[in-house]
Amino acid sequence: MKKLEYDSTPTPLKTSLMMYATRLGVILSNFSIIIMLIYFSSLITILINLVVILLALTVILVSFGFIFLVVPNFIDYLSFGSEFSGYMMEFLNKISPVAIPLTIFFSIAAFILLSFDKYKPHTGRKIISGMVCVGTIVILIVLIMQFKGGGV
Amino acid sequence: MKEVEIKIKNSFIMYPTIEIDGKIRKLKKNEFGSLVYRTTTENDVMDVKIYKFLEINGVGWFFAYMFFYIISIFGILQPKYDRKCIVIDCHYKIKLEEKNDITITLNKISEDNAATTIETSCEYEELSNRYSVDHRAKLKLKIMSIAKIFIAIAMIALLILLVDKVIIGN
Repeated sequence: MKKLEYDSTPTPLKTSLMMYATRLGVILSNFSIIIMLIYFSSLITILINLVVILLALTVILVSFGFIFLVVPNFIDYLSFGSEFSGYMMEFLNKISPVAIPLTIFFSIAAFILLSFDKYKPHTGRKIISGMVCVGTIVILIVLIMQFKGGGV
Repeated sequence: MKEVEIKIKNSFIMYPTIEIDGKIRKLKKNEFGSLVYRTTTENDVMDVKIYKFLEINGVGWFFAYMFFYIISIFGILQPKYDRKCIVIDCHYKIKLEEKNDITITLNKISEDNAATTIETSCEYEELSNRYSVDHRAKLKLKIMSIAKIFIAIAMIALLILLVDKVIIGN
């Protein structure tokens, strides 16, 4: 294949800054999405645990309790999942005073930084950042209500 | 006063910078996805430049690259750099009439074709119109991919040192 002609133009300062701002915006948006996903996955873990408990109850009922003869430590297996989700919730509760405001800040900063891009509109990412911001605020409200109600 | 309407079609091929009469313009998209610029001028000639800047050619590119590589957790959370490093260089001088409809279409990226095709009833002069590869930018990306390995090793060493001092030391 024939090589194309040599050409190299330095990018001006203003354009460089705009490109760097866009890149930082994408990185911050990715961070906020990941933190949000971790919070939602912890919610999913609780739901999965509920399903597992329901399944276990069904097994116990269907086998008329004979499952305990075959697997004597059947209950221990079940408690492992709930213990894990308990640890997860505890950890998330510990880090939430830092993680939640950080996520809100990241998503807002990402939205602002992505608006500087003159070339690409980044519409999808801006919408996702907005959704992450709203979702995190909802989590924050739930946690504040739990805290005020003396919940978990 | 002369009325001018410039349409840029297929801009998604490159997302180029568009400079009209020496100023970088932010063009609006119409319902068909083309970029449109409308203006009135008293000048007889309009200068239209279409070009592409690469991020790797930016100011302080080495430090910027390293900074983003580290904060994005070894590049996992950052968008990829354009590895092809193809740039566009297109420059038209258009003699204006009373009403001017100018359509510039970006062609598919190819070494043989012209970068753009212009459709207008005005007289124009084509100063440059080509795609090219920025070999210097490609070389910079190669250098950075080597530097990335060293940075990763340094970061892992630092992490081991920290774990050793903080956790094992206590």
